[in-house]
Amino acid sequence: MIRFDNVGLRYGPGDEVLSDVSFHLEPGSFHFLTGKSGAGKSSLLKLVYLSCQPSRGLIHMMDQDLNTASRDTLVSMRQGIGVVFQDYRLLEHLSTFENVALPLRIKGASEDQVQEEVSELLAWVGLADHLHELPSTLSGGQKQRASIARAVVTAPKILLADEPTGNVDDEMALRLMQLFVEMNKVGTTLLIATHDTRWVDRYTAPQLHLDNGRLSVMPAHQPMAVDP
Amino acid sequence: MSQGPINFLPDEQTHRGLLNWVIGIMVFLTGMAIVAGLQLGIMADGWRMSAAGSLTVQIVAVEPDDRQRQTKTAIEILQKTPGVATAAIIDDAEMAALLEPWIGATSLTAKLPIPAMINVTLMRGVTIDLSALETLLQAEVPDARVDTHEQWLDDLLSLAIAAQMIAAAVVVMMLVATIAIIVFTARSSMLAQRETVEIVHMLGAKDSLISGAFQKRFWSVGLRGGLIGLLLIASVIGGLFALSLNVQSAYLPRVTFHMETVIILCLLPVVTGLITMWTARVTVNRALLDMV
Repeated sequence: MIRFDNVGLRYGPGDEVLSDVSFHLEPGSFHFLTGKSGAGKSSLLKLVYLSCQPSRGLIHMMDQDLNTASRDTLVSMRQGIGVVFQDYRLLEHLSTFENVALPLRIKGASEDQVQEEVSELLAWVGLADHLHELPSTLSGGQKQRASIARAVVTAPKILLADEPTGNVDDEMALRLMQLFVEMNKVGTTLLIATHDTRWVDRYTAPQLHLDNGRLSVMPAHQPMAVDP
Repeated sequence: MSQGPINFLPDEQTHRGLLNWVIGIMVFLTGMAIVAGLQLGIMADGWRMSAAGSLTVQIVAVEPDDRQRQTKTAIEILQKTPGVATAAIIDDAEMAALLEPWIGATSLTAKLPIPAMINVTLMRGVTIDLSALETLLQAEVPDARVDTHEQWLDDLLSLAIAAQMIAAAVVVMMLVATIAIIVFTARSSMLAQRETVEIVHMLGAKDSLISGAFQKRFWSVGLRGGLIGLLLIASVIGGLFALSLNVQSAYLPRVTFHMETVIILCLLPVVTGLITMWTARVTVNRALLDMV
């Protein structure tokens, strides 16, 4: 599903923020992306959600070589990627409902489908009473849930999450992680960037560990027995 | 599934209000230049039409009796000339009326050695050899002078064409300036909405969907600006027309508007909307190419 070969990324004339990054994620796999703050996790995610191009190296995603993929192909690929941002990146002038509906409308879904799926999903993440509120009136946790709803509403092939549980309470964090796992079980390729070792310890998922822009792949371990 | 229009841009009322007026002023200036150019063209056509197919024969004899005799002979010759439809003397009353704007309503015209004037109209589509006619007339009427109006008409038409060219140049410059303003505003608007555009782009929106949202916004701005411009033009022209009704002078032509001028002016808001929309679309599409 995702293959990086000796990928490097540099912003401007400075040093590379990612160096010789190589890994391969199978379709339907589940990986954590770990590393200290500033290690390059967000930069790696940016490459995966096609927000920037690598300075060097090759990236293959969804059977496409990104060096040769057309602009229209990139658009189709983006529609198959869901992203949960650490800073939510909700559109402040749109209501919670409109924010979550946006990916479906971009894909050309019917209004009936939009109404049904968005309402259902927002109820599931506990935002049924906040459908028409602007993001500025929501708490951090509510924004995070709206951001997650927007990322998963189109049932993407790849789901990327940058610290998805950072701003929600433990109960909601567990529910959201379970949602991710359920999506992974039905075939969504999952990559979750986190520095919260509780989740890494809880789930049997290999880690892509970044240290100063260099990546190492750590195999999955046995899950810890943790009370839900 | 196809991507229909989605309104994802926040409102920018203040900027849009200002832009409406800027475009309105540009449309007003462009419209006035168009009106000037078209009216000049219509007036020049009128002069050309009235001058074509006619000529004037002057009898410049100083002695009144001689002048009267030569005039009578000239009219007889002209009436027998093939291709001449009518040949009639401009009588004293008509001559006095023609001279009144310059020398006033006096009886001075009777005392002045004013040449006799014969107004000649030619048959439609007939061409006459004017030098041969002058030779023919001068054989029996030595003081006859043929004036075809060509000299003064050519000068007047040259002036009208020069003024029309200036008006056309003004229209082109206004168009270029308006497009430049829209390009600048569309870029500013896109910069102001960069975060929104990046998110929508990241969610898989095609460039056409993003530029379509800006295009829709700029269409309404252009249309409103065009309507403001049209109202300003209508006010100014209406005012000028009302003023012209109070001026009684033979020097000033009567202000009239042809249907083609009115139609072109009425189309200005739509044309402005289309130009604004297209410019915004191209500008945003080009800016989007900077994004992966």
